[in-house]
Amino acid sequence: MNSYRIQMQMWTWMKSLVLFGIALWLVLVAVIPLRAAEPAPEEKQSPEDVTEDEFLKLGTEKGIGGKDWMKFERKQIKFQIEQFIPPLLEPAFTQSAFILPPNTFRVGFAGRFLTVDGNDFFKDSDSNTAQFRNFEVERQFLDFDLFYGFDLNRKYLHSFTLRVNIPIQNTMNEGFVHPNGVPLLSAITEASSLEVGDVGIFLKKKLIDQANFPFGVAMVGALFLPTGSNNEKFTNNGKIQFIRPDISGKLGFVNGNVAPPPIGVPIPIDPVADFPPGTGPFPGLANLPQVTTPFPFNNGVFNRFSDDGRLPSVLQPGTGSVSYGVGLFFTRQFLQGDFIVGAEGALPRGFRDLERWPGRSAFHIGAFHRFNFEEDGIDPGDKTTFFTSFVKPVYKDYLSLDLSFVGFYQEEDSYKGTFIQPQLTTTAGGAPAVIFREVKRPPFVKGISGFISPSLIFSPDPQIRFTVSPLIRVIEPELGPAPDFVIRAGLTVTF
Amino acid sequence: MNYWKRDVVGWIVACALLAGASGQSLAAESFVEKVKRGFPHQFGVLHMNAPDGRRISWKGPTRQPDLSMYRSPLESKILDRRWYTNPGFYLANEEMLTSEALTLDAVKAGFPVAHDPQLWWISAQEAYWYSRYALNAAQAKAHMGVCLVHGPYWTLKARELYRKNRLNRDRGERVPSNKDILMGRYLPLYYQRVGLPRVFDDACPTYLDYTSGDPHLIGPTTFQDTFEDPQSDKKFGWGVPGYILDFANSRWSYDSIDTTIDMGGLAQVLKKKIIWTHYFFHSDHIEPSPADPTIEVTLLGNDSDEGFRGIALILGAWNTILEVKAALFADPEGKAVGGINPFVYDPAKGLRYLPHQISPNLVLLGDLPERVWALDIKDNSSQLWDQASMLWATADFYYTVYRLRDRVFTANPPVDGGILEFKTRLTARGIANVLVKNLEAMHRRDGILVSTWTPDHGVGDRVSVKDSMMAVVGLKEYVDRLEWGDDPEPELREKASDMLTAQADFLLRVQGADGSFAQGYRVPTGEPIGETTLMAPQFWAIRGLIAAYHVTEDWKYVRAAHKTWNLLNANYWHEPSGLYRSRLGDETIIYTPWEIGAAVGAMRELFFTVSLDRLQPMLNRFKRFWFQALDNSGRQMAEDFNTGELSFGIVSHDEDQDGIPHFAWGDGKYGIAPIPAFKVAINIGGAANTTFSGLGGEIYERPSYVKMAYVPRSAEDQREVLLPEVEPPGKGKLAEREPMERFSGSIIPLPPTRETARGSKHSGAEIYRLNCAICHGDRGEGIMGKPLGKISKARREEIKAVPMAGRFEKGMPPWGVGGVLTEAEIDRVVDYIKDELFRKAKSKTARSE
Repeated sequence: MNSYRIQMQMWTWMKSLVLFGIALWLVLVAVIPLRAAEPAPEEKQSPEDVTEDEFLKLGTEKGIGGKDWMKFERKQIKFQIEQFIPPLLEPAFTQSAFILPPNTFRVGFAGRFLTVDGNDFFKDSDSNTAQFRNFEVERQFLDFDLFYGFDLNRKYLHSFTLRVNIPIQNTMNEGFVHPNGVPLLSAITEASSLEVGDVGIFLKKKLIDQANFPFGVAMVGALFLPTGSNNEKFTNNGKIQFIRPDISGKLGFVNGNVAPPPIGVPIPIDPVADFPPGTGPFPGLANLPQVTTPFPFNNGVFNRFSDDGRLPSVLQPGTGSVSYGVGLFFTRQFLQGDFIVGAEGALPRGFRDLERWPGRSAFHIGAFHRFNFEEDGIDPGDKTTFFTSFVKPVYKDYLSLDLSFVGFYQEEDSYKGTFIQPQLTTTAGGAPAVIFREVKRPPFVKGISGFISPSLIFSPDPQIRFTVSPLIRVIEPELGPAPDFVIRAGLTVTF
Repeated sequence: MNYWKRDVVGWIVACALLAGASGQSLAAESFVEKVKRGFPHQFGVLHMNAPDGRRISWKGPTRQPDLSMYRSPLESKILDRRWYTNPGFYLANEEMLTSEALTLDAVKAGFPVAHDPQLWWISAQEAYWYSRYALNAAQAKAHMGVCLVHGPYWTLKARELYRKNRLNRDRGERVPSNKDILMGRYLPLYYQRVGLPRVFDDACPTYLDYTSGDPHLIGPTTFQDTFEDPQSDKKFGWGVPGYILDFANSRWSYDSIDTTIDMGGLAQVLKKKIIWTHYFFHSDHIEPSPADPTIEVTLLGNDSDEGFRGIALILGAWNTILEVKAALFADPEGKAVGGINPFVYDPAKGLRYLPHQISPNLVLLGDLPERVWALDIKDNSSQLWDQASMLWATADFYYTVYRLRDRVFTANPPVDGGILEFKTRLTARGIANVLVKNLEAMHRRDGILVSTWTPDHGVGDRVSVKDSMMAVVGLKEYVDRLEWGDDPEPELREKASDMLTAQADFLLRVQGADGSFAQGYRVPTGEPIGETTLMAPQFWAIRGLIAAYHVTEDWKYVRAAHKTWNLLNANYWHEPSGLYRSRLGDETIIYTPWEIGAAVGAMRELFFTVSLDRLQPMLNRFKRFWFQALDNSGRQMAEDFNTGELSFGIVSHDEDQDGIPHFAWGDGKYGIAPIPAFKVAINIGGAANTTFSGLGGEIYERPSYVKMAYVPRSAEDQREVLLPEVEPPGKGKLAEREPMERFSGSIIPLPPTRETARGSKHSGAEIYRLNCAICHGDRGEGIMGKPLGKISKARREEIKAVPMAGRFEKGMPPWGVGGVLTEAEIDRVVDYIKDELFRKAKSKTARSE
């Protein structure tokens, strides 16, 4: 790891620490006093409420909790749920139909860490190594979440959870790409950004609890504020440097030749350096003298995605405009004795516990769709997340295993305008050549990617939950990056 | 010694110890093995081993007598196995009231019931246990309602504890949950109060009961008695089959449950809980103290098990009442439910009433059962059945508080040994008062109570006989029960009495010349509505008319009831099957709990309105009907050890060979709860009955080993059951009888009677076997009744005094009071108990061991 990279990492973590500190301060200074300021229910009562027969007054204006006894009961349920909502049955990182009880807060902090290298970029569902084999992206996503449960105490207006999500993402690109798979060209596309993403405000409504139906159902609506930048660029002020072998004269525009290359005219390539694109390592690159020059056309701005050299939308912290999301989640909780696989004594000794498998556990399934809109000529494309999780406590009330599948359907992103793209071709005589063409900007991402994840959920206290989740890629997208491995860790505290 | 030698020796010693320990544990005989070698056949009492060394008595298996003389072949189909709370618990209530009436009241009234083990089998066993099975299965095991732990009483207690727990600073304290309060604070005290060493696993005593569910069990029944007890951290043999303590697999599929709260069903369950609370607490028991097993102390309840069940029931009942009061009363528009202040309630200032159906918006709380999040009205009509049933229940709760005062209901529970506050009676009375006010304000048309009121259309114009019956029964309960205490609303009791009389008079007015009743009537014209030849309305009318007689003592109601009884037995009775036709002219009889509950309840009440010399044929018909309709039709889908499954289903799936299997071997993969099927069809038309063959359902495959030996009676013999339609004979001809206080606490008039022949030449042993053994056990070990071991050592006069006078309130019938057993017979049985019973038992035990 070079010193530049170490510096960037340190800088990333320092900024993360500062942001975490700010979030913590918000919770400590703003939220907890807010709750503390609310008087305990009994303090709201007048002295006449404390007479000898609380039973006779129950459900009336002078009774404990006032006229609406069920409203009071819902508050009492909170005390139950704080201890019993299933920290061991909620999925580690996917969603569920559970909601928080009224007047309950939850803070969450989660980090996802992933690296995308050349093998993790896809084109036509195959690794696009011709273009990305010497390229690597390291990304860290940090999520600060604040949840609040509330109930409007009206028919059809029960059971809400409000969530504010502050995402922070750090992206570091390293290495270089071979534009359009042309091996003789290497674009250094280094970039680094640590930014707050689009702040999401989620309102989750439990439509029906499992207690009333075979499974619980919750719906969520989300609003994403354009707090995240969609203007992150590659390094060097958005400029791009190309490195290429110094095979003078072969390409016709080296060593200070700043004239734009002829558009549409094949430029022969030295046969020595010729090789089929995408089929092998760039031969002898390390041993060749290299020339780094500003890209000799278009003023060196890498305008693959925009005229001003932006990163592709998938690597941007934000979308640049307000976007929306909707989701539907289902949860089926199993109780002790459910799903018995055999009669008593049917299994051999030592496996008897399996007779009652899975017993206490939960199954979750759902999907969330985010509608993104075009901004600055860039449309990130809608994104659908779909998942299924099975969560089973494995050690008393402390440890659960979660086996999840999570998939993403990324609608094709689009970038308005054109740029000059090198392509491999042949001369009229059949010799290898590079040709530059002005083309419409092609998409960068598209298709379905999927991951399976066995997670550990550790809950030392019913109100505290730690999760660790490795995500392993099992479905590769049609186009664009998809990490083969993601590690996620999270912590939530409910109070 | 070298180290290696020391290690080797150490290993050898360790292995030897381990082998010894293993051998010891292997040598310990498991409960299942004991049962397989016939162990339970020798006793009627189970003993549960407590972790602290105590042995807790538990009602054990009982042996079924020969019932074949009442059985004849039936061809039947089970059309619907589902459990419906409203009719299911209505039937269970009538069964339990019948058990009490025929076990205790009948003896007190001098019925000719001596030496009749088949009748005792019905009254002391089947009626009792079928009712209790339903209670246990549908109210405690099935999760067929919102569990008691979420009840409003615990919410109040949680707030109270939180308040009391606060000091100057409340930093770090938290509000306890309902579960904290019940499981952590009160239950440990309840254990000690009754002597039970542990709580039942996965029990769900309910306080808001759901409408219906599929009674198939979700998992295999556990018979092994060895399991780890999280409460004591011990693993050992409990001495009772595991399923008695662990209800986890006795749940019903939650997905099958209709969670609607039906107000009538809720009220019938409430009534059931109250009846059983009284029964479980009718006496106390003496056992080693849970705190110091070396000392015997008096503990609450008939035994530890029943004491604990009694506590669960009364807590369930009280939480129902509190929830009804605080949250189930609808606003005048029928749009939302809320609380009510019963003591300032005036219908004229705005109605608040109990709607017919409520949809609970439930929430599953992680590892706890579901809890109510909100309550929405599903059907905003007010139904007479619902209101009257709730009146029946709440008035009885009020009275039960007085009956159990100072033992269960105290001023300062739990520290003074009580379970609930004595002041709970006021809330129950308040609701009962509201219901009476509402009956008058919402359900009366021209003085007659009608079945339905709706916010949109107001008072309806029709009433069913079924609803009329429950109205009269509920109002009677109110008139009877609210007399207790300081009776602050005498005018309401008068109103209730007036409504009751008007309704009973309406029944008299609409009764057909042949004594028949239609399904319902238009009010006030009395024009019949619906079918006119159904069986159930006839029985319901009888039940209602006799309830009116109990309040008014006006014989005209009994005369009308007898007329209908004669109609039923002349026209509806089908001698070959031993059943009443559910509809005249039909060759297929359809029975649901409604029909059977109507018949059983009406017959029971009729017995107390006739001269004793006319009772024997009626009792015989009752027994015949019971064994055919309840046992032989496939209606009772399963049973447990208490009604004849002596080996708990381990050795035989149907030990008593009555065709009713142990519940673990009932219908379905894992068996079915020991409750009645909702609907059965019986073919009385032979092979040509296309109606029967066209019905769906499953043919009830009755095992071939079920003995049938009924000899059909001649037409003339059958007429013995008919009653003369005359005024009660005047003095001089028959002996007058004093009004009698029943075991249920109500006082009823008894008509004059002819003297009947008494006495027999049975030996003391025979008298004991035919009359006493069913409760006290073959060897006097005590099952339903007390063990006689200690009693037999008392003086002869002291022993004799007990059967002679009975201990009626404690469940011992007064055999000598009504002359059911003569003094000479009692002398002989006392001799037997004193001189032979235990000597013989002892020698038997010695031989078997």
